Amino acid sequence: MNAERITLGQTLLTGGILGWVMLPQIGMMPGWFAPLYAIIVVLSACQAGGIVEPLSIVAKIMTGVAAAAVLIFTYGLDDIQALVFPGFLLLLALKPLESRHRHEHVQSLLLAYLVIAANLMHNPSPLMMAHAASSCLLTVLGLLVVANGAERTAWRPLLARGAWLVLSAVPLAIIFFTVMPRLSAPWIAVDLGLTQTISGVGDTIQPGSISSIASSRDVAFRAEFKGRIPTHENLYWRGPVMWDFDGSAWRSDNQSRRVRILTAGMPAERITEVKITLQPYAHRWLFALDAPIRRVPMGYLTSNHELRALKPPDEVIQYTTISAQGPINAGPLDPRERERALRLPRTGNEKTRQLATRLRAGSSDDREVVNKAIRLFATGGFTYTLSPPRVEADFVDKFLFDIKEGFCESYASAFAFLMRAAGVPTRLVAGYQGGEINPVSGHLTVRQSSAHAWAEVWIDDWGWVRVDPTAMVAPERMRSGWAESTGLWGNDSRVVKLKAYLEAMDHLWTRWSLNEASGTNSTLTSAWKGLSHSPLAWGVLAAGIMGGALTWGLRRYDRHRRLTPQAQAIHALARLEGKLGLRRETGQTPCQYLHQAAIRHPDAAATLHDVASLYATLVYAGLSKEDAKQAIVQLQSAIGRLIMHIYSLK
Amino acid sequence: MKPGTGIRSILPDRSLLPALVIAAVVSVFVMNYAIPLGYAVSSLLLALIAASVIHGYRNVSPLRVAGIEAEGCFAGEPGILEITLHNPARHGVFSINVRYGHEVVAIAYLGGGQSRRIDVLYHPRQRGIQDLGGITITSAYPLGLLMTRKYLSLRKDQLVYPKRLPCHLGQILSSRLGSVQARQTRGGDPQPAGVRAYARGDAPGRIHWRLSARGQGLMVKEFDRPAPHMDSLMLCWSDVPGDTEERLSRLCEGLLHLEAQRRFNYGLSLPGIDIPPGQGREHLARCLQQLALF
Repeated sequence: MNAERITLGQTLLTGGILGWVMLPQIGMMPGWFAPLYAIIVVLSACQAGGIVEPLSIVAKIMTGVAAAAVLIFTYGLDDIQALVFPGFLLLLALKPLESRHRHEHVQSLLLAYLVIAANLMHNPSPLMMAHAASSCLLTVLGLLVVANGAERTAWRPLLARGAWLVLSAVPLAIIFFTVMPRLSAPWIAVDLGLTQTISGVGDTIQPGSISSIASSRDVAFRAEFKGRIPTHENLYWRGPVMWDFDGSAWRSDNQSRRVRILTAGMPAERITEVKITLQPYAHRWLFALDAPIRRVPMGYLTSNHELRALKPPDEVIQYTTISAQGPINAGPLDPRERERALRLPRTGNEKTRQLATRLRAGSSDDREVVNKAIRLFATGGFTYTLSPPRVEADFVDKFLFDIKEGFCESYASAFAFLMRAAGVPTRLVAGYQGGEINPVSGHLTVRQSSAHAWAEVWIDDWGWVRVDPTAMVAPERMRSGWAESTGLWGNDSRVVKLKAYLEAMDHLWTRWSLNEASGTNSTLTSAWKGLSHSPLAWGVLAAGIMGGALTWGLRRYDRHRRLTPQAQAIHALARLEGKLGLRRETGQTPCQYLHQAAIRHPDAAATLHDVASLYATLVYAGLSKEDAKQAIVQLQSAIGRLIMHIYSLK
Repeated sequence: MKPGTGIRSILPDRSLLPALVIAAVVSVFVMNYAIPLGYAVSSLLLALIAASVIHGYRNVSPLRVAGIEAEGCFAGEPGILEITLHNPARHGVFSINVRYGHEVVAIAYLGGGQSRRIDVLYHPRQRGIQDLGGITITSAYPLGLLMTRKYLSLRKDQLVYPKRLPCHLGQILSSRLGSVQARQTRGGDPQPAGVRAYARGDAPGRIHWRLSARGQGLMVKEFDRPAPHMDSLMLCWSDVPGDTEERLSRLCEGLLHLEAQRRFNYGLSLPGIDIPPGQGREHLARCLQQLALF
């Protein structure tokens, strides 16, 4: 039996383990990937079992080229970076076809670790963590079985020893884990497209932009309050502020100024400190409780009280915000800003403009206009729906006078239009409203379904005041909490509790892993951080490795030195025999041989006789250890001279 | 160095370099993309590779040679070497290859406290006392990344008889055979006095095939000890043609032939050595030893 060859069972095992490892990526890969992989595994198992003939090299190359072509066809060549990881997975999936030996399967199983790491990059949830742990264990099992070709009787001890292997690797893994450097910036800026970025609340608001994400249960961010959590209807999470309306969409821009601290000297009861863990997100808005007044390390604060990240957070990030509740007086409104906050398209939505004129005519000041409009929304027979009908032109008119049903973006947008038409400076704010308080850990989970839009009006002496027309129309939306969000499972308390526990664990885990990644806040990391950054520690490590290698090398070298002088003499003689080109006859003693050699090589006769007598002395005279040592040195030098002489003759 | 102790070394198997490259790639990958849990994965991979060194070393380290049995054999002919490997440790030993010369015997598992006998062939080239050398035990346990190698010296000298060459006993002994031939033709083949179980070294000609076929194992015919007055033959160095080795070889074959026949007492006469006539396995062994060591 050739131990190097892999059996049918081992091929299936490796294939199965790799399949399990790649499972989370199946969704990212084209639909044909999973069936193709299954066929490859079965085919290669049949090859290993001798059921089918191995594929010819031409067939293998053709399969590879075809798969690559289909991959390129699926993904296109526009974004080469996006092809890197699927390409790697494809290669890994094709590998069993040409893996027929032990070491090739060992390599496949080792490559699985790259996939496991990528899975964790893709989605670092507790479920994925469990999957990664199981993948690691299965891979070790696969390696054990493939490398040792376990017989059935040896399965149990092999499993036990495998468990012991993993356990003994854990302390070492912890050391590696702590000393491994954490980079502040990546070396290689290739976007593998592995991180799930959720579009979330974007830079524009138009009918349908928020309702499209409103059904998503994905977590947008989690918040931990320092102190009391405000009531649900006060949980407005501020994102982009939008000034410009083109008739259908509201847009944010980059024109707003950067500011450091906007409002100093706030009364303490209005200040709230919140730590936010933001999931990867396609835009640059760092959400904060309305309204943030201090910048965060990875972003800046604008004059609109927006927190803007320096780059879109393509991984989980954490920041602490300081927010002030209630209207913020930022001084008198700048005339240019006032002009911008009143700007409307020249034409369109004439009925709304007429309504605005009527509102203005019957009111003494801006405050009254706003109040009248709010009353209009509360009593105007409006209904709240997740799927408002699509309207092309004169959206505000149709919404206010005909359809009368819509989602928060319709209400906010229509209200803002009405206010601007009535001469009240108004802007739109997008973000989230509410959140679910986790009964286990006490943190607040804000999901995409809480995406929201509201308006802000400028009232002299007060500043920008939040007005949420949706709250007038559908007050129940403002009251959703943890228990109501369980959806499908109804209100089964056990399920609710379990979900709360899972959610709490997820949050704790994300927070812990964030601390580990940034190398801060962890006692273990901070203890090792100093060490791993000190050249001394690395020097000691390098010296240890070199010392180990040297010891090993010497040990091997020692094998020859530990022979008895007699044995060394025999070795030396055998070496000479080869160089002289004169075979020792069977039964000829070394001395006889050397004398014969002396006849053949008269020019070296004297040395050969020396060697013979030295040899005889060494082997038969029973020298003391010291003498023998000296004799062997002499013998070896004599043989060295002889060999040199032979070379010179050639 | 005591018998059975050995030198262990750990050599990279052909998978180690790819393994280190893959571990490096995984590490760079997780560091580059700052995958928090990825650090755990790449650390585990590195730790597994490191731990496999210790586990591989520990796997082969308890193995000892508990016994070696070898039958006397002739130069140029393979002999069977029975090596008993013993694992005195409590833990089992996995997937080892035992190499002796060009022969490799695979042992998938040797439990703690267990022994396993393996038979290997050895090929003596020269007559005389030969060192049997040692066995090399290799194992890719646990992960197939490192080849652990342990050399176990057998520390056993083996007597190797001269190479067998055809011997024409009739020609050699013609001058001395007169009376014997007469008796031989009269008496025919001697009848066996009994049977006993086959022992190593018994001549194949003595196997009682009919009895052996009954499934009780190999049986050999026992003959009565030849009568003391039986004719004696001396195999003489000077009677055999050829050089030293050739003569020894032919004498060796002659001795075997005579012992197998069991008809004569035979002796051996070498320059300076004379072994008086006798018979039996011990006598044969004494004669062969003289030939081997001549």
